[in-house]
Amino acid sequence: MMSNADHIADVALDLLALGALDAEELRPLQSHLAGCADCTRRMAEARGRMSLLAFAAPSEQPPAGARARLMERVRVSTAAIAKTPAQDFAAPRTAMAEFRAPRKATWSLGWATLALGLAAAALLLWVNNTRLDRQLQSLQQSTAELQQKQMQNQHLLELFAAPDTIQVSLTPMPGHLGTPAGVQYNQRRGLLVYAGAMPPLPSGRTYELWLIPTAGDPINAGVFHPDAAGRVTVMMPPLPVGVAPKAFAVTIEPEGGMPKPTGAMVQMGAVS
Amino acid sequence: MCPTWRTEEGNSQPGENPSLDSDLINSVAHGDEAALGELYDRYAGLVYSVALRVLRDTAAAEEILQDIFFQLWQKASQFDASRGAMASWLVVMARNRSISRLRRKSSIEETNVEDIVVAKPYRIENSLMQSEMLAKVRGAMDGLPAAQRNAVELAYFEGLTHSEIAERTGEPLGTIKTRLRSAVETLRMKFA
Repeated sequence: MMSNADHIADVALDLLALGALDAEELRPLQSHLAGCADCTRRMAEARGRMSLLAFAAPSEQPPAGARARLMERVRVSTAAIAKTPAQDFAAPRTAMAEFRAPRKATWSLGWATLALGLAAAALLLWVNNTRLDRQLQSLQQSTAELQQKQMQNQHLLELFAAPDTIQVSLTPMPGHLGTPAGVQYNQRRGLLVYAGAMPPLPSGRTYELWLIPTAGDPINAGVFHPDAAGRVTVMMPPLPVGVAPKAFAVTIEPEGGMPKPTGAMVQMGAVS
Repeated sequence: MCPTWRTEEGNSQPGENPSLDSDLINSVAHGDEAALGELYDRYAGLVYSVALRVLRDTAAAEEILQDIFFQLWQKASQFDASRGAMASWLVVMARNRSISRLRRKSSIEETNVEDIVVAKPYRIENSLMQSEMLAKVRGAMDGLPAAQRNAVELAYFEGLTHSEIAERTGEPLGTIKTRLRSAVETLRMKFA
């Protein structure tokens, strides 16, 4: 795969960055990279180039609350770090206070009043600063949410517009309530399930969508809950590539879903 | 080995401001939580999408997301901010860590994933830039023959090597190698 006796060809670097090379192909390249600054620099370029393939993943947004969980984790870690030096300083400060204790009697009322005034002003500034910080965080959150919605809408448009998207209508099975539902499925752009009026679920239960392949067992396509009005519009997690669906079905399963269907099938639709 | 977060400047675009991500990471290094929040708002969707595409598990994908951004918070001072490329680095980390977790093996390329150097090919700091890049990459992928596209996706998102793809698809190893070579040659031209 070398372009000449000295350097690695771009195509080999791209394949290495892609992670496609087998062990016996990797070894000579890694050995060369260890001693070649030029190829190491070009390897970094290949990584940057191949990193763009991330955009080929269906656009998904992190779960609600993920940002807050991260910031809470950060605050807890910061507080833990801050606590140690504060405790370290506590002892000298106490010793100093004890050393200076006799001088407290010399404080005048005026100095005490001034100190109280400064403390009150500092408190007001801190309260105001905290309020502004919260407003800023709220605005940043709103902006981020709008950007997320824009990305979601764009992703949905791409899913609906793609010529290779499969549309499947799901109909309630005999004895089960609910209006017809549907899925839009594209191997590269994702899977959308939608419904107008799904019956409410018993406590501790969830709806689970299944992709029924042309050969093999049903594949778990994700779980979903209808909103209060029974409506469902949910982008499901990505499915394995290269699986041809014969049908889609919905069952009721324990909360969190099951790897294989165990509950009653409530909706089903075949790929036409 | 102490992890080093290094990136290298690549082909900059005219008129760009190369310091935006650098400013934020500098602020994070000084304990600015709001700066971390801004980096999260910029790149969490991309990082999470990659992790979810690889792992197909929302809880596991969030774990990868949280760990990467928390590590960014803890080790921001080790990031060479003067050379940018935060987004590419985050994506490489998300993809490598997800595949390592999926396949229960050490990192697919380097043994120390934190020591990866990523050149900076493009700017994707805001939603407009990200939308443009998304259209460019998906256009390039859509332009590949289906078999080549499938092989690239199996390598990038599932961490499969030539021989593993051949085994998965039941096609000859030589065919898979030819397909992937053609695909990466095409993508390199389209991404240039």
